[in-house]
Amino acid sequence: MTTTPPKPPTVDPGRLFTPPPLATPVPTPTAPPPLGAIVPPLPHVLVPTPPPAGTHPHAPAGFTGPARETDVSHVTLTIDGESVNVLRGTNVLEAARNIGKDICHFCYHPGLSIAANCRQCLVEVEKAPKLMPSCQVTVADGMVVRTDSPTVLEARRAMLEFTLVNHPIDCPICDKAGECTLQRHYMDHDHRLTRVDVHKVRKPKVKDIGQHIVLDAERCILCTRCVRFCDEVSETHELTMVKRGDHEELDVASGVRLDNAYSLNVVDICPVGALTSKDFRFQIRAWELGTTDTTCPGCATGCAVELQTKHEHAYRMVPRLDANVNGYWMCDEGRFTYKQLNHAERIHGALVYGRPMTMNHAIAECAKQLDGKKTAVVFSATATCEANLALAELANALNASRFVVGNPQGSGDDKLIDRDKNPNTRGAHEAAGPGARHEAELALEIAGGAYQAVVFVDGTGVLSDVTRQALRDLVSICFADRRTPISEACNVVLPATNWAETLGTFRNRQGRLRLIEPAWRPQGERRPQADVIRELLLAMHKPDTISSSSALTRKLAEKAHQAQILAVLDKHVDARPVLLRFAHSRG
Amino acid sequence: MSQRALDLLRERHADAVLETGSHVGDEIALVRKDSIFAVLRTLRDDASLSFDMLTDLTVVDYLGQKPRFEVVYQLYSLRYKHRLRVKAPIMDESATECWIDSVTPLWKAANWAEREAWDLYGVEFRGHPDLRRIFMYDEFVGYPLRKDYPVNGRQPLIRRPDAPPTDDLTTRLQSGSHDRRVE
Amino acid sequence: MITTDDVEQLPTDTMLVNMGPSHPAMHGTVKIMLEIDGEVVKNADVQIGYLHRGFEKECERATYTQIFPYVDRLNYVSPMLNNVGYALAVEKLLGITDRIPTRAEYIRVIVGEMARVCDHLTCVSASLMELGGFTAFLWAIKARDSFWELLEELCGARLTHSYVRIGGVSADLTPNFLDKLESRIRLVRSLRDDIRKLVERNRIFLDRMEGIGAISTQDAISYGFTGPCLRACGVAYDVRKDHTYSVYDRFDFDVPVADGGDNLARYLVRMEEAEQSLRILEQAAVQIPSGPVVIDEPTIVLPPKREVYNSIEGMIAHFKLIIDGIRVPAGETYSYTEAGNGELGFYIVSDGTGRPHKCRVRPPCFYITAALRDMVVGENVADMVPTFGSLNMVGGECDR
Repeated sequence: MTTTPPKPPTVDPGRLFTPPPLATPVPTPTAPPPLGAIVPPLPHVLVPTPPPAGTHPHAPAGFTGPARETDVSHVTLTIDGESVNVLRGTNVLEAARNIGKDICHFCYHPGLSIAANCRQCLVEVEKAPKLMPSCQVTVADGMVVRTDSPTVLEARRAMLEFTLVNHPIDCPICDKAGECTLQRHYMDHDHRLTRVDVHKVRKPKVKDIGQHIVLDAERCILCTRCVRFCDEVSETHELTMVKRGDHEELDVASGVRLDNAYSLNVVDICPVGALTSKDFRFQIRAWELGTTDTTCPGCATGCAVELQTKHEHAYRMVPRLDANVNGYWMCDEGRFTYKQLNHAERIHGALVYGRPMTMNHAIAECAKQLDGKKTAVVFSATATCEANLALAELANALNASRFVVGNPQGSGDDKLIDRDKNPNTRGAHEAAGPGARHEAELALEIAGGAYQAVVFVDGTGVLSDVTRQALRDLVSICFADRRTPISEACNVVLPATNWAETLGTFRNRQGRLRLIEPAWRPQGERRPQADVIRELLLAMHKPDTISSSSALTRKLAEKAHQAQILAVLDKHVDARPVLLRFAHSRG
Repeated sequence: MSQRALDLLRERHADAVLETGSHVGDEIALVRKDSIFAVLRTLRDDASLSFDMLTDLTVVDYLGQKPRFEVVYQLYSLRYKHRLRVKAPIMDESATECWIDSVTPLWKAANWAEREAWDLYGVEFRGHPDLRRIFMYDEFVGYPLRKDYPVNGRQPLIRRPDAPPTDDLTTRLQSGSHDRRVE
Repeated sequence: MITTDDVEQLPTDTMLVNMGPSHPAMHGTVKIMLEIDGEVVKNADVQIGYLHRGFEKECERATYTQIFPYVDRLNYVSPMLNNVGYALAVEKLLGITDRIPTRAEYIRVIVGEMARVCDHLTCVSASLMELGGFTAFLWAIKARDSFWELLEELCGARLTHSYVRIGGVSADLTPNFLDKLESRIRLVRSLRDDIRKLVERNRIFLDRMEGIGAISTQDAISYGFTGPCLRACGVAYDVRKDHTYSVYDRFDFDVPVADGGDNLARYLVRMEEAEQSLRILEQAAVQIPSGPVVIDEPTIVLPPKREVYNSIEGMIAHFKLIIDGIRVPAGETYSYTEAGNGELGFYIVSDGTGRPHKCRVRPPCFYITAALRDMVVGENVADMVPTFGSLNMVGGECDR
């Protein structure tokens, strides 16, 4: 059951986002959106309308159905003897899903237009002379549908038989095996052996059609989901079906490669292993992976994703449905952020002036060093809200000057990719407060000798060599999970959890609170920054105004009325990825 | 076959019996955990039922559901040759909830079986004469058959004296991903 | 000179003696802390768990078919009986118990009873060896090996067979299996008779076994005894007769029962049961029909290899059955069979997927070993050895 999402807060440009006038003009790599900019709403094609009130309580969480007119009248029909009440305009397949009946299908996808070419979803509709494709038939009052009559079951088996006639015997070498819709439907509905004793049609295999995608045309079941995706979602029209009959195959338009910024989504929606990701090919079997619901840290959009991991190693990221943010899709750039997690240069233990130390000792040492020093604290737009809030408490306690840094801006588009490549710009600015300044001033003031201590909440940021050199002479403390230029420049490095080990939140460009969940327990001595800062404050004998990281998350979620986040917090478990082998199939 | 037992239970311990039923030929009774001793004593002593053998005693962990644990007793009557399964739900693993009365006074078989359930699941059997670990070594921390204990969890056999006395050490060692079903 | 009066005044203290876990007479690994006063055992703490391998935890992440090698290693002296017991439990949950082909049922009975004979002979002869009768042990091993050779021919392994499958058995009997079985039954029978002739009128044997390690019937029932140990106390409970399963109702065999509950009674019951098992084997070898050895159900049984390699349908079926496992409807069951030590029960909780939510083994010798303390307290230390030997505590089953 989804709660009504909060309306994105209206931006007060004057208060939060005005960068102060600068002494010398410098490029603004971390400048927030320009004055007066309102975060644009996402285009219609990518965001299905949120679930209307009054759908059947059995509707799977997050399901919204295809985009349709805002007609709120309802229709009652009967499916397998059970009465269903749905919005006018819903198709029979979704209506059946509302009552928990999963009609098998290949070509239907709620985020794409309806093609009805696979004929797998055929159902019996009373008074119709032939079986009807349930994905295409719109509900009507008084319609009587049967999804389990002998005719329907036989039709399913027959369609599967047709689909399997020319399907290559690739399961042992196909990436999709284990999460393949064809395998799943065969085991659920059809157990007949083959009646074919001639050779199967041969088509191109291992065809490189794009920067990230490999095509195996034999495995393609011609559902055209990928073609529709390229036409409707990425609007790049690269794929098409060529030839006909037995020899029909998927191909790129001549002279073109499948190279749009959303190309890897076709790998997710392909029901079989025809389109595979070059990055993921042959890396690991799907059933070995555990999946964790989290948020992409690639840019300020904050797409809802699933991070798929095994044994503290991340293998891929796939999008999750989030009707309010990213719909069913995500960009390729965001997908590859999982590679940061497997970075070889990981930090597991504290380093104080080059000496490794246990966390307790390191924190005591930091408390000693920070005492009575003029400090600058540096908030980060890639750190979680909790880390930034904790740093704000530290800043209050030390009466420190505040700065905000982040990743440099990149290129964006009007779909999902945001120019701001930081997941938590808003969160960092909220925590830092109105007086926070940016990288350029930090460099200036460090050069000017204004501070004796600098605390970085996270290793992100671009500082010049001179500044980094200057950090060596100060008490510089950096929380980091892997070695970055800033963490190398600092004298004290405290291990912090990375975004796959943390339970925390980001605030995306719409102002929504986005949750990241841990996929594995923190390795080595890493702990969330908020917990370490809390101990630091205690060690410095400052008043204990700070709460632990999870308590901060709870406070943020309660303020934003995010019941889903609260539900996750209530589970009191850390890092329990769901094993994919219990998840039927993807795509 | 043991429908008689179910009927008698429903009659005599109507407030203790939560549910009765039969599945693939086995009769099952779900009984409140506070009344388990009384119920099992009735089943043992009643002349028409005479469940003189406790065939098995175990615990099932339904992590993610409430009740989390179910203590399962398999009873058998040598005299009438009928069987019954009695289950007692335990809400969760907190110290106030995760206990049940021991039935060692009723059957001697419960002695070791309850020790095993305590060792592997952490369910305390109050009234047990000698509740200590039976399979795991004494320095072992945690309850291995619980669903949140990793399958490939590793622990040191000999614990360093300065190691923290909590389960955190177990988890910070080489631990794999946990199993969790999604429904 | 020390007189009797002096002895009475000498201060004495009980001594703690540790038997095991590494001990020639400790079958499997068991540690028994004995508190002895002179020669008499005052108290004993039986500590098991040295062979605990996490069977149940492993079963929770293995598919139903992958559990067969695990159950082999429970009572590893009679693995076929464990295989059969487990297969019957899963088949009960699947609801296909009456669709198992008759030939498969007969094969299961044949290999099961062969395992039972091996188990009983091993137990008896091992305890004889510990009493000093090494010859009897070697004869029993010769008998056991003749059966194991035959099983090796059948499924490739002498001990860890993994031969039974959900829905039947994995392969049919080898040609001439039944003829070889017939000759080996004769061999085993003659060896068994030889052992009996050697031992049953032996003064030393009777003195060391009779009246030693006794347990009352009431205690035995309270402890949850089943199998030969319970039948040695006078209770005629045998799952094959009382809750007959598979095709056991088609055979004519007796259930031996002895009185006294002591070591001798257990010895006699086991020897006689071995003879009854040989009787069942002879009848089964004659009655066995021809036919398929596995149920015809594509959701449970792997398709023939010809289909797997040459068609996508066979490939998908094989692939999903191996990877996802046989999908057993959600529910729970307790299924019990007569294994070498008694009622071997499997309590399986299924959540609808191909892997069990819980697969609990009700180990017969676990409950029997719990009573060991009561059996040896008051006896001499030296009686520990034959008593423990007569229980047939198999570490794999007791500790899992």
